[in-house]
Amino acid sequence: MAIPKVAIVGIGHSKYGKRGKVIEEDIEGEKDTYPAVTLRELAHESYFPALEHAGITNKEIESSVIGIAAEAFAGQGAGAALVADEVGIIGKPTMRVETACATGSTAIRTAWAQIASGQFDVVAAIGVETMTWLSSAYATELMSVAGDHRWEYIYGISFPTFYSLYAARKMAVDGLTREQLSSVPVKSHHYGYYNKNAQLRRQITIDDASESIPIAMPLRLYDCCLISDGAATVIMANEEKAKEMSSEPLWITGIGTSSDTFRVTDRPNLTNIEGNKRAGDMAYKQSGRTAKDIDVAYVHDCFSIAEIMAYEDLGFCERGKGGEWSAERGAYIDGPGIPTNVDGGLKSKGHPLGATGIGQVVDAYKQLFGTVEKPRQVPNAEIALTHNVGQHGQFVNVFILEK
Amino acid sequence: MSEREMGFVVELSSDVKNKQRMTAEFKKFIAGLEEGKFLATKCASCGKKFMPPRFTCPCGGKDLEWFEVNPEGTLYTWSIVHFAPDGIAKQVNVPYPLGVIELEDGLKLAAHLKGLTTKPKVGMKVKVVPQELDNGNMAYFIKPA
Ligand SMILES: [Zn+2]
Repeated sequence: MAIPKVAIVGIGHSKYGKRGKVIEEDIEGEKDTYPAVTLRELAHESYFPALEHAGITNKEIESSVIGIAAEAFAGQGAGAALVADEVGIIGKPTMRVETACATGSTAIRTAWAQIASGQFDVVAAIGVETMTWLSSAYATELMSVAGDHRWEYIYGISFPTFYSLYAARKMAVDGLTREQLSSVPVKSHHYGYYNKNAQLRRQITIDDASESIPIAMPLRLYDCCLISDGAATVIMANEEKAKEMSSEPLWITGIGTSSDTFRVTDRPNLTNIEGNKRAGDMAYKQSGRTAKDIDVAYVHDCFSIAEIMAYEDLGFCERGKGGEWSAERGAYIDGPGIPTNVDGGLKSKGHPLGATGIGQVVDAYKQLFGTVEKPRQVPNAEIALTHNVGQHGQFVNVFILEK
Repeated sequence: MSEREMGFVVELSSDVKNKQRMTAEFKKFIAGLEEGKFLATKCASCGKKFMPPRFTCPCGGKDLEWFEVNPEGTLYTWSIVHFAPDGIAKQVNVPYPLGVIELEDGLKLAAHLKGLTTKPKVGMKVKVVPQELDNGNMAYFIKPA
């Protein structure tokens, strides 16, 4: 069943990075710690380039959807009102959406629904997150309390721990190896090195990853993605407006979405994430495509194990074979399969929660129109897939994008 | 040995702990622990079993009955946490091992893993054991059977 035609007509992407904190005196002369980059500044960095790319002004924007995953990171309540006002989308409806690490793609899905329903013709989806002014331990804390307090958090299950439970299970059941896990961040850093928007532009080796410090075993430091400041924006329009304002619209032909159980122990298995598969199947069905048609993919690699499960759940390789697939360079541009995370992924490019899912779509747009840095350009790519996960499958969005 | 040294159940961080009310099903589960029992629920309509217990079933059933679960099972998966978030790190020494035990009919519980003499291994025989904490609260941990 084909879905209503909605296109991406403008893209903007800040550099992802660690802007850190500043210590300044407050109004009473007391020293206090602040984010070095504010929501306001980040919103500017991605929104105005997107507007310019679309060739329009704020006058044409009828509504905005703002992705901010955690108010505590920014220290700002009702952040949508701030961001929309700051960039000058005033007197038009706005809202904040939140689905943990999938917040960005949910902003797109919400903007899509506003257009597909006929309510609005042109909508901006803006994702912003400022995280690095907090310590990693406190940032991890803010993310961990999204687990079930009563049955999980109190037993010391942190966020990396959820994914380590999958990794240990997959090692036992599917024969996943340490080296296979390490092949994922090696690839991410290989491509992230070339991406000007990436946070950590450094090549690494299998040994670097396999010998990095333990975080939640079997997962080590290089299995875990970055904590980042960043923003990304897409301007979206219905068919009529898109054709009018853009010579290069990118059509959303599949917009799959699903979820999985709140508690990790309620899952039927811990070798895959069934929510990934459900969301992927929905997007494939809507677009009439299968994994075989995808030229370039962006999957949610918050942890190396997550990318391996995504290969399997989205049908890039057989179930149980994700580790081998990765080690055999299945996801490289010159490999046998679908080039995946050739922007560096969450691991090297970075993971500013509310922006991540939008940043994937921005890079997919650039890939399909041939404008990314040469060493990471997939030749003649026509169809892209993006996959963005909140928590460990509690929220999943999968989009198919076509020229 | 203090609870901290034993790597025990952690308190919720101050931001969130006051918001976790004891619901009726949780109280009943805790009362079971005090008697050394692990209680789960079963849907009278579709037969599905729930551990942790639920009072409503996704099938629409609202008639769920309590039953006692055999505390012995196998280690479904494990983790050894070396880097804990702030709220946990303040209370527990790292590294600490965690496990998920698989009980009858695929029911699972996550908890600290204690008393290991070897590396944790998926499939090893383990049991879940109720434990009264220093503060009088009831919790549980997993240990080799
Ligand atoms: Zn039922």
